[in-house]
Amino acid sequence: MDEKELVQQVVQHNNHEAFSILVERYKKMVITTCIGFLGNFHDAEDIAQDVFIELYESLPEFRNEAKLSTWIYRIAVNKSLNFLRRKKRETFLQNFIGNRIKGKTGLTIDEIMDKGNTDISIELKEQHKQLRHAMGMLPENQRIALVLSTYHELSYKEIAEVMETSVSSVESLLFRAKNNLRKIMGKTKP
Amino acid sequence: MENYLKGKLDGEVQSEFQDHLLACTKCQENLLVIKSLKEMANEEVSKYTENPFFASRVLSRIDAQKFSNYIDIRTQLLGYASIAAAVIIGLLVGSQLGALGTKVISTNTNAEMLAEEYIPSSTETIYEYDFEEVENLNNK
Repeated sequence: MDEKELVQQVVQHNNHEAFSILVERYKKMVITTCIGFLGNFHDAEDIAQDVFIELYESLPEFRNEAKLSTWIYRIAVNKSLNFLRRKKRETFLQNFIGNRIKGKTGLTIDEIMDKGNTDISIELKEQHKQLRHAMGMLPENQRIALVLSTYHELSYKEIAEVMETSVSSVESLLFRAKNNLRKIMGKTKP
Repeated sequence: MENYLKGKLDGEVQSEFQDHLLACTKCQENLLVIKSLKEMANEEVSKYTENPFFASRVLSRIDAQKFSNYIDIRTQLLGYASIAAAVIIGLLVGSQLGALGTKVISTNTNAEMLAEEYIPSSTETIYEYDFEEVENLNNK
């Protein structure tokens, strides 16, 4: 069954099996996008579920003018950014109140999760942490272009379609994003 | 730069780029950033192991959401029905009270007619009523 038929089946007949095929087809793409923004797969999988729920609800509005993958990318980007905004607010409040949740070991959940990853060197882990932090400091549109380019290796044209902008804007966004990362990383180096 | 990292540059262009890279610290830093980004992306994505129940979880959440929407609609309808029932009950009680009021008024009217017979309303107060005249009339 091709994509159009699957969409039709879901919209007209509420066919769960057809939607399940769509989920299987696009889940890796969505989870990878979410990981690109969030940096961990635990949150990414939850957000990916939300992405597919929204896809299910918004499929009747899908007009086949754009590719379905472009439509899904847009939902994934929006959901991830919304999650980050919400998390930022919560972190701010937590820091403000001074109530960082720690277990008996005195570690946060993220620290415990990090402890298990002994397969990469501490230096590399630190570098990735800095890079992730630097990515978080980029303006949203630069971050979107960077994630789609790095995690999916999408072409400038494809990124432009997802972001509903021009190819030259994407070029400029990526150029500025990499320059900014270099500057931020340069500042954070000891 | 990305093509260089992917090894997609032609031999001559590649060696030219490498010469430039040795001399330009800005490009070295940029290359390092791009390389680190790619490594980070690969590392983060490789950590993820596919969840075989992903699709079924999504579908069950959709069903749960539909059910909660259904409950919401039912609750809303129930709310509207309660309001309508309250209005109807109010109207019924109102009309019953109205009828009772009419009865009370008619009872009052009878009493008033009886009073009129004994004490005509033309007299301003009971003290002006001429009891003697009435008594004389009765004796006749």
